[in-house]
Amino acid sequence: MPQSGPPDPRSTAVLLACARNGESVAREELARRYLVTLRRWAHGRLPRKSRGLLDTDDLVQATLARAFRRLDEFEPRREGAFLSYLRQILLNQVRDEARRGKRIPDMTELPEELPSHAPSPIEEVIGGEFLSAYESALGLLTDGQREAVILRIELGYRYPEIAESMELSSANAARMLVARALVHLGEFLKEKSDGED
Amino acid sequence: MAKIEPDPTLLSVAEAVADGLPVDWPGVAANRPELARHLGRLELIERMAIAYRAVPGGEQGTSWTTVTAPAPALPTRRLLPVAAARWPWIMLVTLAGALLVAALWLALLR
Repeated sequence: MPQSGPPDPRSTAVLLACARNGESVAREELARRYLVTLRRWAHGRLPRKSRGLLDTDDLVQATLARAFRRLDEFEPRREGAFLSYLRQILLNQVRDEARRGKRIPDMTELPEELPSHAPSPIEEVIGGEFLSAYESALGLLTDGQREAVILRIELGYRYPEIAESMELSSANAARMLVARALVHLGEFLKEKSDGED
Repeated sequence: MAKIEPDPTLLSVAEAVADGLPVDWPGVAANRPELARHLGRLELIERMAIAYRAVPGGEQGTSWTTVTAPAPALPTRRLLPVAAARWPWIMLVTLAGALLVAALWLALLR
């Protein structure tokens, strides 16, 4: 989802290839292209309590920097895969930040696995337990289904944008992919909750 | 995958969730009680999607707003009854003022 401003003629795939070769302009363009989308996502997932400790933009910039450092290890096939990858890094950053937020008030070191009790805006709506189950179920989907759900539900991409990002034949194909992915996601969530009952 | 071909009802509900369209959850669950649990998960996913849409900070490139954001309510709906309620008072005050001026003129002429 490009930001407003002059459109860059190069595709994300080309920019990624250039970024991998160390081209700073390509990295800056990729960062510019995804900053708003990632910042918005982070706002939803970062506990309100933690948000003031580190600017969300800094968190997103750190995510992008980390992703660029690892471009040699991970070669995204398409924009959707790259965004899914960025989202995972950002999620890890958000979790780290939430834990840090929990530690700061009394400056006491807590175990790494201890989650923050401050809910994020998304957790406030659906609950931490469901969000955790959702993350697990998301991991059970195919790469394509996972990308489709993330792009549409979490990042708010339009169907033509999803089709372009995922190299699908049409917006309708993207729509069908998202719908089927949601049905499968519901099945995995159901199985998980049934198993916990 | 648990199923190759999804249930048509679930698929249509999932399409509505993905499109940001309202779903009659009690109605669908009443028609297909065997899908109640699965529908419950989809409803939570719908809530999550709505929550993501509501997150501030997406001033640029927020696709969701074009899908579901309602048109802003016009203030005239609230203002008009207030203005209408005050109108008789305004007329009364104006009439009283006119009568007062007329009485003063008559007094001066005498």
